[in-house]
Amino acid sequence: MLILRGHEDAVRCLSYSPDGRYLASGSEDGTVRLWDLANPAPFILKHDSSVETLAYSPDGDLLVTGTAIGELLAWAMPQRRRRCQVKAHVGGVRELAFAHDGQTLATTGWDRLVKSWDASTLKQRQMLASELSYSALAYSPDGNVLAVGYDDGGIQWFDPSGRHTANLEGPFRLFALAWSPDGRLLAAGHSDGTLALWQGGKLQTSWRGHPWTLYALAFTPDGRTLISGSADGTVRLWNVQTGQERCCYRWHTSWVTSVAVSPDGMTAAAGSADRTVVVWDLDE
Amino acid sequence: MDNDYPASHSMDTCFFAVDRDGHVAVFDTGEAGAVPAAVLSGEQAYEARRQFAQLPRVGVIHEREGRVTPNQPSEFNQHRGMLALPYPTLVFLDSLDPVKEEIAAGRGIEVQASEGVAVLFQELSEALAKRLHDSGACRGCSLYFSNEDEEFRPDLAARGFFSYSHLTENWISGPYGRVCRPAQPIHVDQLPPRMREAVKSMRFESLSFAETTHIQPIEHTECVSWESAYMDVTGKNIRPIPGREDEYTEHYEELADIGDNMNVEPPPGHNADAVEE
Repeated sequence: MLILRGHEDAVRCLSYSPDGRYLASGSEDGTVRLWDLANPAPFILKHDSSVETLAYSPDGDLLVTGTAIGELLAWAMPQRRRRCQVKAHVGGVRELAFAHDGQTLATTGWDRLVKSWDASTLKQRQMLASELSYSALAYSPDGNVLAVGYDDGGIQWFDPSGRHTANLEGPFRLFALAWSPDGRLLAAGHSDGTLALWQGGKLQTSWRGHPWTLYALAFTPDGRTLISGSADGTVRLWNVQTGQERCCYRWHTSWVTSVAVSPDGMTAAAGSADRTVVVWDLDE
Repeated sequence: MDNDYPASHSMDTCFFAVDRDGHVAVFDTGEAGAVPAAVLSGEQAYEARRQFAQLPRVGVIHEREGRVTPNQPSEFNQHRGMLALPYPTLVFLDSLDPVKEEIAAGRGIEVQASEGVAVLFQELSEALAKRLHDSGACRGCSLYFSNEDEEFRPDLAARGFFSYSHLTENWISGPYGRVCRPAQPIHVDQLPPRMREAVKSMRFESLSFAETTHIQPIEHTECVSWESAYMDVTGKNIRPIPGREDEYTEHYEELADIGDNMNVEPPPGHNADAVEE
């Protein structure tokens, strides 16, 4: 287990580079730290406000970050150079996700909008939704569905053309979404700690995974384990087949904001309001 | 930060804080309640409060114990509604039986309580106040000034905040008590960035609002207050507010007569023998 220290405020988001070499962490301290896991000194990308969300493109050539003042920034990798920047949402960007082809990016903001963007130029393509307080989003691995969760607990589905195709009713406020690698399951994390698994637009199962809000979800590449992080300060691993808890980690001294799994499934990482990132071996 | 505080006029303000769990609270200062030096207060705090009114609504649970100043034995401390003043009054009971008629007649409505039951009366008649107190049915009562009608001061417990109020009169900077808790607490990370900034400037790192009925901010951080003396969270000790020792010295003699159940800490350098002479 490795504890990455250096952020000066809460860690809010994490993303592994597709080659697994780097872990990017975004923080309320206005920085992204690019941790080369073989080298303890991170490279720092400075921002003008809290980094609320970030994601590597599927080919690893881009890292896109979204900030508390609503900016979307695209960073060329591995040069670590800012390629372009756009004012994306009034009041702050909440979440962003790449489509499987890496050409399209979707964002939600505190302005209650969902937008899609050309990932390389950050030119807006579409306004997908504008009715609700959208709190989470995730593209299915085949790119056929963009799932967008909203504060009331429901999930809206959009097809690749941006058409709203389905509405799933959830029980409580929703803050995290993740697709299984085979695209069969969509996991949702709710404000009461409930973890729900949807299959084909139908609720397959749900259980109380944490006593408090569930903020982060990630599947392992084999799809057999789901990792959750919560306001209760714990990280938990779940057997997807049975819903049984495999283990519960209490490394953090404050709430867990983010989790990520390395592309090879060997390690995972959890970020926390305690300003640290914990990286651990999944076979522990 | 250009706070309207301290000022020569009313200091009735509020401030916000986050606990170790990331839960959020609003503190209504009355006038003498201590305010952490680093937080939004005055008009900035009220502006933030108006912004928080946009948050989703949740149920509110009223608390009896948080309305009572610790270690104050007077009956009035627990039964501030017994004077039957012409104001809304919240009464805590073991059951609704003693007030069934009043509820049926629409003179009182049941509200959610953390223990027993609670009934809100728009006005508690003298006869009912006497009956409830003479029979021992009233477990505690207090005047209830709902803020909900005021656009200026929305009820933040109904938006997921724990709600604390300053408990003592203005003779001292007293503890705050948790008067309401939200049925579903909001977490700081569920707030938009601007609202998050407004609340997180004060962190009670060692406290959980869900587990803490009384809080004296002076015991946790540098604070400003009208008064030079504060009552600690146990209600048993009176001490000078750090940095206000000179003023405290001036008031020490009158504070020292406060009562047998309280320890009034002498000011630095105070010579007890000299006073007795």
